[in-house]
Amino acid sequence: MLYTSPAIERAIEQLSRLPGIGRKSAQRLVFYLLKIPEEQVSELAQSLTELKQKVRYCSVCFNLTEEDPCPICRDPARDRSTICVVEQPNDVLALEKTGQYRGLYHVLGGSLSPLDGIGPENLRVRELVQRLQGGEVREVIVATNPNAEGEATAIYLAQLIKPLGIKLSRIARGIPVGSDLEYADEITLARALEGRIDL
Amino acid sequence: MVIRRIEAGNFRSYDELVFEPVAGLNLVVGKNASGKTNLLEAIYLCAYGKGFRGADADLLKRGRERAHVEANFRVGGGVDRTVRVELRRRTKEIAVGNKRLAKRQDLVGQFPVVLSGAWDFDIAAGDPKARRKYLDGLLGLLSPAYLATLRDYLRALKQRNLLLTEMREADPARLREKIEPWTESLIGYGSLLCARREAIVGELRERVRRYYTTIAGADEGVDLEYVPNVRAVEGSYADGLRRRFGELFEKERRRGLTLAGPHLDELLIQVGGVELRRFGSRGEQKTAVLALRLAQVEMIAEKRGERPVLLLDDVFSDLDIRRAERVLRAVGDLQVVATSAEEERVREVKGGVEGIVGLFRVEKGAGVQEISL
Repeated sequence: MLYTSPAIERAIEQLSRLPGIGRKSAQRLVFYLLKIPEEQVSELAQSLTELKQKVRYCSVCFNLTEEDPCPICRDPARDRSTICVVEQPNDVLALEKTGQYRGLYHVLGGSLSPLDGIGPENLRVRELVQRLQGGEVREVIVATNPNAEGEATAIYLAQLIKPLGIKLSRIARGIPVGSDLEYADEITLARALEGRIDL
Repeated sequence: MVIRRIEAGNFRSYDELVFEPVAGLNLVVGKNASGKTNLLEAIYLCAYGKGFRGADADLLKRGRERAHVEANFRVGGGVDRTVRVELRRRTKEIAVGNKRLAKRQDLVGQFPVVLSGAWDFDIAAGDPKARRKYLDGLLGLLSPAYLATLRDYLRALKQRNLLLTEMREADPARLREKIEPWTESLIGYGSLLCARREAIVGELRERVRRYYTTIAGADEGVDLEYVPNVRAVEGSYADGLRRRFGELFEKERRRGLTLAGPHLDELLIQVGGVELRRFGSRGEQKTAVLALRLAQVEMIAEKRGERPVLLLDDVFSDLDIRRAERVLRAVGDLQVVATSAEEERVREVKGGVEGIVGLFRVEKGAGVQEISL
């Protein structure tokens, strides 16, 4: 159905392009926007515009940032000898929330997936290797997701980084915190054993 | 675990369905196409989050926009838990109690249900895929991590196959480099799968033999053997797989396909020293399938400490009356829901079974009614 107002039609059209939003949801959003005060709508529009104008990728770690390099890369208190490699900016957020990690990051922008047409050349792999050649980095922690693509990406990175003589680790998977060993199944135990650490 | 109640609306052939099974043996009779199998599928849906025939959309009664199935399970320790599945044409929501599950996989294994029906003949007589599926089904109910590993393995396989197809014309050295991470993934996941399959077949062997002997009334020498597509090297499946992928590279490159790995494993079933699939009679095949299912139930009960519910579709076909009786006696005091189109035979068999027995009739358009014994 087409509306009598081209402006409504255009707004619906634009909103329904967003992921997870179909035409029906877009209609609901548009009618909601028509009801709220104009300042609120302007603020929304402005925030979206600013988003694109201000936010960019950090030229060092490729996290999202307004200042380049990003606050983490510039922070003198952070340990510059360790880099944690993640798939997405969201993953940086998750790790930062733990408050346990004081090193730097490198955001790949995804994981290897031929089915999605993503190879190493589509990820920030070359940039990572360049960072490692500076000589300052002594350890790389690979924190890609524990699924097929994340694992393959970790394996790929390992092959690339090992010859550089840098210490390489993978975040552990295995026994969930708070659960008992006797209730863990064989596969979980096998994986946990594989990822065991020195004491 | 026992099912206390199943309630459904607009599901398959039913407008409304209410089924309150007894804690023991439930015999469900009805004519062909009356909805017997649909009743089993309603139960299956609440245990696995999907039906066992066709797509989710097929679960809706024709012409309806939404359907639901709700199951009340009493699990070990006497706790009652409810699973509710809401179906629409394109979406599905699964909730356990008040908690909505993020994905179907979170449901699998929580409420152990084992199903057997005519399609199980594929395990005895079909290609290796059906036998792998049997093993994976058992291992999956024992360990969600196994299912996750299997999913990752199959995903890595798909990724690797795509590279092999797409890069058929490319420089071999470049292809080798490209597929390397996926080869290593297959080795990592695959070796875990192989080790678990080998162990489980070892544990199944005696149980299957015992159940087969019970049902057949004689020991006919049934035997299981896990035949991995790639054998372990000095006890290590990882080493075996790595070596095999090394040998196969040229061939895989030419064919554009992964040619080795646990996705090609076989479970060899023999009766009296010959392969069941090729030389077994239909009666032997049916007996073997039921023995495999009963062994599966027993293993889950032992390892999980929770006895599964057994669903038997059209249980008496291809089984003489004495074997049928022995099957129903072999299940002991498990909760069983068994369907049949042959009411006379069911009444006959029932006489030879002890314990709690309920008899139900399904009629098209009328739902499920308990009938007198």
